[in-house]
Amino acid sequence: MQHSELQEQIPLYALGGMPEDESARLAEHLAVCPGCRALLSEYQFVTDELLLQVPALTAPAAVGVNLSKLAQADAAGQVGSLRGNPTASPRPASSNHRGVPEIASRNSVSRPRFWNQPIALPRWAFALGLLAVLLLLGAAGVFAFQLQNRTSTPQQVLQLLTSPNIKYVELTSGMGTPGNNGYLCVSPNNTTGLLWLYSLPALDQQHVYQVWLLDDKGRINGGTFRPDTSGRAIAVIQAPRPLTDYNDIGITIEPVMGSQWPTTPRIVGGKLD
Amino acid sequence: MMTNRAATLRVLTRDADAKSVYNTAVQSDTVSPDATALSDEQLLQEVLARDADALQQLYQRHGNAVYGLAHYILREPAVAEELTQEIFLTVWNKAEQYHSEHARFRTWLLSITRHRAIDQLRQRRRRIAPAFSLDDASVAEEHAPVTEPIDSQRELHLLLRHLPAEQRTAIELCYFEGYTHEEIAARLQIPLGTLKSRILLGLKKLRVMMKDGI
Repeated sequence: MQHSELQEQIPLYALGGMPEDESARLAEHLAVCPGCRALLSEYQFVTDELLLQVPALTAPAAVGVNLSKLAQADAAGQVGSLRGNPTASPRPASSNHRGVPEIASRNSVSRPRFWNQPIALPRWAFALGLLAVLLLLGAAGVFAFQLQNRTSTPQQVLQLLTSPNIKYVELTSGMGTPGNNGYLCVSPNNTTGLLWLYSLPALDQQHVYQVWLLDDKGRINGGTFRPDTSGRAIAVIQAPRPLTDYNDIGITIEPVMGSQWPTTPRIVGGKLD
Repeated sequence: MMTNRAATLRVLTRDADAKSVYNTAVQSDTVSPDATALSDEQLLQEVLARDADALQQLYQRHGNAVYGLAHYILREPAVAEELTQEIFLTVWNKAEQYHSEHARFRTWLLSITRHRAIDQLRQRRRRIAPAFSLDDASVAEEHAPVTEPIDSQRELHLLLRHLPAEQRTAIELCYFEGYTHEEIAARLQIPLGTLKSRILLGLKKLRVMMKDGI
């Protein structure tokens, strides 16, 4: 690549978001080109200024209070775990981790508490079958390929599937189609769930399926996925709270990068409580 | 985890004199003469010596900027609050990692904040991950959701407001939301080359503006 072409990319490099190979190529060039390094410094000054020009906001007093307590306790040798693990600290007192919009109404149709029923042989068979498929695909390298960038996910999935308390939430079509469209495997106090879906309508390239988890106070975005050509999908959900804390799961079709709230009717869903 | 954190917090509250702690911790426009006499670098040296008051002074100087940036990126007050605390605990634990010859202290602090906040955004987007697909053609596909529409609930950036909307959006999505160029182009439904041109034009304009001292 010509020097001028590399030089042209320096602003993009300073901002980030370049593909790794392009970024690496430019880094190699920067190592040997003082002129480009000087130009990079100028653009890094611009990106630094982007940070500095973000409007400041008054932080809640709880942050300062908590920080002071933690530092004083640590300095006095009372909180040995602080060093090297800042995230293990107590959350500021005013945190609530909500801030999601309220849901105007919820489907109030009562259904049997599927996962509270004693686990029958067919469900064990289902679990064993699912586990066998996962392990088989794992042996074939497919599983590892998909999970290589996701910390602990294989262990979490195996832990879920081998849990004695595993429950299967039946997911049914929101369009009134008889029969179910799949299951969500969960276990109590586990933030990981395994979504197994089939017979999903095909999507064009501009749309994906998006998962929503609902509780009494609102909904959270569970993420997006795309099924295979036969309408099947298996996906791992990792929620901020145990999945059994939520009331419902719903799946809608949304634009390819997802939506802030559902913009189409529920395709598939089920009650978690 | 939530229960453990709350329990820990209660124990600390019971053991501490909450009122005196509050008085030293609440942010104020008034800074003591001793504090104003010390530079950020000098305060960091005190932090290295495990001086909690020095950390508090740094927090008073930069806490609102860190919280503002965390809120700007994450757009959830509670999460921004937690990240702000985490950033200053990083200062407390890893002050030696700051080198004044590379950047001003505030720039270093905000840079850490941006990286951590973007990590959290990416984790949110990965909350659901395809375990595997039964269709080879779609194995490599992974689409991440966007938490909110562009520019909603976000105060306009003091510098970026000088740019045309299309350039501002491209830079925002890249720098403050951590999307790759390919992801942004897909989201905006524009060719990759067009996206790069918008970013380049925007950054070049900002560079000129800063040189001219806007």
